[in-house]
Amino acid sequence: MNWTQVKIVAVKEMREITSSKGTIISTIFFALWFGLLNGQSASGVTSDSLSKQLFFMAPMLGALMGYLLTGTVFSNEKKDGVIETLLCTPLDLRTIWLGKLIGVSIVAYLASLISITFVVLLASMTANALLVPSLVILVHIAVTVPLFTAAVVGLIGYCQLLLGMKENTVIGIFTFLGLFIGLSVAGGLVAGSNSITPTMLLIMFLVAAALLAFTFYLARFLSKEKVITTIP
Amino acid sequence: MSIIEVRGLSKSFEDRWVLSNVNFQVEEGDIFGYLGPNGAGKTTTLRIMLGLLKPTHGEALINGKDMANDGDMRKRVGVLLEKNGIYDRLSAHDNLQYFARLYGVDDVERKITEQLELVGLTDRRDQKAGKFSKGMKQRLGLARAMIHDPEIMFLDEPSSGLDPEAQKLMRDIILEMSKKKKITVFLNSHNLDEVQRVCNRIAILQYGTIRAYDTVENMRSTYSRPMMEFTFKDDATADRAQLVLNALIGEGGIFRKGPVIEVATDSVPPDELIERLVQNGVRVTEAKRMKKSLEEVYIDIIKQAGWKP
Repeated sequence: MNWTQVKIVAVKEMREITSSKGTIISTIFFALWFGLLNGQSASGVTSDSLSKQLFFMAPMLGALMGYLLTGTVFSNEKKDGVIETLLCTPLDLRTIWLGKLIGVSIVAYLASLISITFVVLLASMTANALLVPSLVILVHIAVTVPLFTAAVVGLIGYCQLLLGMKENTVIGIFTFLGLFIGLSVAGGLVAGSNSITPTMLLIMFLVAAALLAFTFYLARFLSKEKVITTIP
Repeated sequence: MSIIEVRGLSKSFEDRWVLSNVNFQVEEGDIFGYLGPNGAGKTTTLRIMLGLLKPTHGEALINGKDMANDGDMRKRVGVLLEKNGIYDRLSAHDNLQYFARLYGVDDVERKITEQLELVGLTDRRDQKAGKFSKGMKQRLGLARAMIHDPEIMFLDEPSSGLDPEAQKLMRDIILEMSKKKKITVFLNSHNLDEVQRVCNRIAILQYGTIRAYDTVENMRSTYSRPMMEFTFKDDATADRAQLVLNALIGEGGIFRKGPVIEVATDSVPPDELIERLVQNGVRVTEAKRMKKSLEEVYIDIIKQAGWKP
């Protein structure tokens, strides 16, 4: 793996996403909207309940933002046919996939942080005091959420590279529904759960790391021929 | 020396054969035209040569190497495919900068300036490519394809959808890079006029097999019935000339258009025709050999295999 090439692709993806006003506006809109939909506005919200909510919600927000941005990179490049030109450069397909994964994941993670901040501010306004999530949750947001976001971006990107447009549309609808339901379920889990322990944090971290490792394993099966023959 | 060698190339998708035993070579410095109707298998051949598809049988070698397995070889090749490989959301400069970095070009900014000047887009340097016309995008695509000084260029329908002025500019750039930079060019095209003007060697592909493969001039000579075109001062002179020519070769080989007469010269050589006309007191204003255009040759070749427009 040539890391200089990975970096060039990642930087270009970040530049392309952030140079589009439409993408920035829609990303911020969705980040705030999901935060508003799932934030706690009921009375009695505390730092502890907020932390419990963020434990499930933060990775879901990262995944949702990753899902929204992945299409603008992998899918569009295929629709425009640019991927064919890119495959003629010295880059191999895994380098392209990884560069895009990193570029999209960084922007998606930053967008999820906006959403999480909005959730925290909303809860603080309701409680009439600044609520700060526990240290365990802050570590969770800093470590597990980016891994989870990257895994989702990697998986969706993998599908978008290898499958046709119809299949990807179907997968996209189910992924969106799955993540949306996941967010709602995450909210519901708060009520019945105990405080977040380091063990729970570790389990969540291992799940995210395993998912990311699985996407890297899948990336070994990327084939140029599959990508080319599914260009619309 | 052959820079591209395609040997026994066949490709099938499931049970459908798209290419069948395709063979040709491109010599160093050639501008090679690869012609054929839609669905003939041109793009599939190109994709196999570029290492994007695997052949079912045979091989396509660039400088003796298979591009699918050789990243270094891909550094020596430039491509402008039908979809020009330009990011609409990036500026002309950023598009070129991205590819220059991917190819490991030294002195990126100097190279970008040079390429934008070559394709006449210097004043559009910071404008997003999404705002460009089709012609401008093609020119930017060509600049992108040449950013790393390739030895071989693969161009897939570079003039498709361009107005005549932009087509001429594209032709001029192709000829210039071939002459000045000694780049070998593989041109996939439907534009027969363009191919006739820029290519020195061509192959015609139909139903996945090569129908003809030669230099443009040889192909025009091989497939043309030898003809001469005589122009006379007026219709009266042409009438007298027609009588002489009819007596010499019969009416079947003569085609009259006012004071111009086209004559088949497969039975009587041209110098004898002129001599007979002069002996009979007929003054010839102009005489020239005629050959079929590449377009006529192309239509003849693909019609032989039962093609209908």
